[in-house]
Amino acid sequence: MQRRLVIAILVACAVLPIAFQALGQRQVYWLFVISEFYVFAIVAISLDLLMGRSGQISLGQSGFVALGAYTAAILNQRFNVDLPLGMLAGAATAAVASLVLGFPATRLRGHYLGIVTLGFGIAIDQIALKWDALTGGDQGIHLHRPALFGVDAGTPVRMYYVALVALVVAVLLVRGLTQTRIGRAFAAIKDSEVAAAAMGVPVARTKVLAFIVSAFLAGAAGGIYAFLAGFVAPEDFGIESSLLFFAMVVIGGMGSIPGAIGGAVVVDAVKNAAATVSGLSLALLGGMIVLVVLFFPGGLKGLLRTRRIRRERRPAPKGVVRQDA
Amino acid sequence: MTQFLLQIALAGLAQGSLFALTALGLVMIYNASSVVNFAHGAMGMAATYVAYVLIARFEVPFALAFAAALVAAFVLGAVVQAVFLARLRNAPLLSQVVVTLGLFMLLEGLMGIAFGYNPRPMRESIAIAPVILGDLVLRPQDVLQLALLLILGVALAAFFAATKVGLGMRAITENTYAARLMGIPVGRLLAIAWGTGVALSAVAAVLAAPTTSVTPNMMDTIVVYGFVAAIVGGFGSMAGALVGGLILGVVVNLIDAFLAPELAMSIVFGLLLLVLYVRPDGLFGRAQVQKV
Repeated sequence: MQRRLVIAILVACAVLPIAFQALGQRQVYWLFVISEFYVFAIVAISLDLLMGRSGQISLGQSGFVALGAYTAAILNQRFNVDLPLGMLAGAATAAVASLVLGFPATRLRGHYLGIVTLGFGIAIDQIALKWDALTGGDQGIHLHRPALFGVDAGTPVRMYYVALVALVVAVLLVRGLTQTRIGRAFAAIKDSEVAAAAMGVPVARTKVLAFIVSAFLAGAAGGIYAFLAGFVAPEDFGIESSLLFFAMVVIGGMGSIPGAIGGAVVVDAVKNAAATVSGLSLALLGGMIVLVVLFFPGGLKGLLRTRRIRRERRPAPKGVVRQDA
Repeated sequence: MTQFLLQIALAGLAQGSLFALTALGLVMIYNASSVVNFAHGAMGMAATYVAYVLIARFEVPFALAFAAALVAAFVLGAVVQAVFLARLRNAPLLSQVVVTLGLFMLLEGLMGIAFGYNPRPMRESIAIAPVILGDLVLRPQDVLQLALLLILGVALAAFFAATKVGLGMRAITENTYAARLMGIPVGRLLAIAWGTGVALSAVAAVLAAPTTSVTPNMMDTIVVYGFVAAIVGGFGSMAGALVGGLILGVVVNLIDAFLAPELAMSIVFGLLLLVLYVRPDGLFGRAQVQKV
């Protein structure tokens, strides 16, 4: 993506709270909606790392988000642990869970991981409801006002910036990772496990690693979400939200960070716009997934790219010598 | 106590036959096209609405509505294969699986828009009073489920052993490319496999409907247990799926009776992980050698 466009978007995001002051009372709501979107985008990026880069399916990504959120919330409620540490603890818990889950699943062929993660997502939901001594059951957990290194972060504007910075850090981390040896190993496995193994890539270990990194990011997003919302309850993390994350990645175009973020924009918009009719957003997103796979395998990202290529391939006007000709 | 256990085992086998029917369809589709069909339950659910509308609006007898639902399911499965999956024949497997997930969301959403999420009651499949046998209570519905599973199991075994279509499907499982070279009409057989597989899911869905009521997500739990049954059975073995489903039904009923019903699926998945640690190819599966 062009550097200038990225900088423009970042600047726009950074000054958004100032523009929102014009909204008066409603700015608190809109700031929350957009901060929440940043957190969702982190989860979309984490899932894209797994699906788009290493070719595995997770249908329980919200299970990892839930683990991160509950870990942060419980630590905050009982030991007054603050945002950075709570977020890291949430991420670590999710990563450990993914290790237990990923080890048997990734040794297997096909899409077992999809099924096992689906069960994991359902199980986390059930346990959160049932184990009310720890999780508060369907009453959920209220968190203390968040602080960052002793500075109060409890205002909507400050939490907005926390979420924005977290998203930027997540993007940089994943971008960095894909350019390392490990990132190339992910890509090799996605193209062909057998060929990757022949090139000396430890297939099972690399697949589990992709799963762990993905869960770590999703858990971190969950930790931030807990502090952002100030409240955690089981209904935020059902199987439906796992499907939403899945839709973000597919619609955006697998294997691309801008794609995952763009997919998150589309899905979040559809979800909020179609909330009044039950079933409508599910049908729309399902239909979009089918259309994307059949006709636009690159998703949003692919659509933009083909347009750019077409533009570049237009014959040069007369009298102009193309540089690359 | 033994009588109580027997009663649980009986209920478990009856419920397990629904898991087994779902798993049989999943495995049939998987064997033919290597695709794990995540829309499996939703497609069975959609067909159940056909039976529901026929019974509730037009007062068609249950058996006839059941048959209509099966025909609808077969057509749905065959059309999905021919329209969506056939196009993706050369696409990565991941794309094919993703399409089935999209179809799952689409079908549940569409049924939700058309009929709403309020559960709609379905008439009992057979209106006979429960039979008391010694100390045991036999529900006719349970007997019907088990009997249908066994009949369909035998029929499928005969189908794969003796008919030309069944043999062709086994050839496709073995090696699709070679099957095509041998003159087997792969496209048509894939459509038949998908149609039959989805019809099996519809059998489970229509039989489940009097207990679960008809809702867009009526099959969600059953199909997840169907996945588990298929994995336990080695994902590829029809007999394994059948036995796996029955065992799972008993396990789920034991959990409901002695542990926590709200945690049934969590416990089942914990057990599944344990099974996979010990036997990565399921209890009945053979180790797979990956072909290049």
